[in-house]
Amino acid sequence: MIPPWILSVGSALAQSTPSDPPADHPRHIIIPDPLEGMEEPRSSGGRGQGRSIKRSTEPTVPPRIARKVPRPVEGEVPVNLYGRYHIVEITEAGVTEDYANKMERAGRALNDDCLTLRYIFDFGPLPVVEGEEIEGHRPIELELTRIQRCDVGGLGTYAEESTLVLRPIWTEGEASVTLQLPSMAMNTDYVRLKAPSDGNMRTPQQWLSPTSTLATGGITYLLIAEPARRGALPVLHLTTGDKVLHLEADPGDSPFDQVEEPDAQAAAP
Amino acid sequence: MTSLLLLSLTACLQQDETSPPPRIEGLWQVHQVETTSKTVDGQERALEHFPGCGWARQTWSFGEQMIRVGHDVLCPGNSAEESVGCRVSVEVPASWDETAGVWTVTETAKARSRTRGVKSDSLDLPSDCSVEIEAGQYPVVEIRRQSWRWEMSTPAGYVLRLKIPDSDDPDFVIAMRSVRGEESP
Repeated sequence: MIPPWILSVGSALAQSTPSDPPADHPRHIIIPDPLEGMEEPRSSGGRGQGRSIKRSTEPTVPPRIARKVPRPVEGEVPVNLYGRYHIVEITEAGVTEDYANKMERAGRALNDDCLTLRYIFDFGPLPVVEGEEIEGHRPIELELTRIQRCDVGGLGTYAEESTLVLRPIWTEGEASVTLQLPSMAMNTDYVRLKAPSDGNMRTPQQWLSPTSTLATGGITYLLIAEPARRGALPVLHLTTGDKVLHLEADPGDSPFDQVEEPDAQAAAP
Repeated sequence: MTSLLLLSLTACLQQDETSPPPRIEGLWQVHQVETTSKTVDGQERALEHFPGCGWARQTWSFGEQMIRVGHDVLCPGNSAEESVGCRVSVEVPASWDETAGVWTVTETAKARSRTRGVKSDSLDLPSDCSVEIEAGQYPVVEIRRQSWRWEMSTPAGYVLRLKIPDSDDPDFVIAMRSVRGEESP
């Protein structure tokens, strides 16, 4: 996660004097977080649904290049909102870029131990009411999840997932739905301790992870959905200011989507 | 002389009655939890959320317009020599009613985190951590002459007895020693 103060400093640098290097100069690569503190996701179906056996342990970042022609933002008010989505692209100041690429570049520019892989918006499943066609469903709870890949001395290489469960505020409009996230934040970190071989517990070795922060910043989005085939999750566009998040169904291939191997001993009677 | 003392005492009492209730601020640790039927040790209560782990604490932090609640947990590691700790906290907006002595939280929030090793040398341990806070009112009362300093009611009907934390950041070394049955230095 990029600390907000770094983003502020970065923006200030990028907008400073004309003699400064261009904003895309390596010294000035500052990528704002799409959610002012949060990051990315995955999707398909409802929470915990449609995720069967998944495999890849290390999500790969497709080599997409930033587009000077921004991705079109067209759509309508969605009939229902449900399912698990992740940010695939982000448009900012008229430039569209692959989200994972952007976050990786930002993390590497700042020499972070953790790189964001995915940012998920999980709207949960569509409620089932027998004999009724659901219309106008807006979830009471929204789960925002960021998955990072960290490489930390003493802790090794691991995936870290942070999830905030919150209650969004929905406002219906003619052309879009307004999604307001309440202002909240979470912090997480990990530590590993190892007792020395001589048994002296006064000096165990300790390895601490970087603190992972996920914050909503009380942000408000205008949400529209592209028309979709029946049964498929539509592409969503979430606009805030000059920034647009483009969301697609989460493929469910993160390290946390792999099916646990049953423990033979634990399963034994 | 006696009447003067009586007058002073009356003045003090009147001042106490009209002065606002004390405001809880800063970081506090759950010492005990009162339910309708019993009082449970704070660590024991926190450990109920983390089966298999040996040490845990819940902390509450009160700021200008926010409350942060957190869990610090220590669990067994891959080998007998190792332990793994995690800390997770969630922060929500809150307001203090200085007349009633009540914190009000407007948003229910849950936070959870976990890790998974992606290489053979990785952190691949029971590192699931979670914490939540419920929207509602949290009346707070200052307590004197007890090992805890505050009592705070929760919307769920519990009373949390809050004490000065052993340390602001969890001391996982001491926690590890206590889990292994070794005394602190």
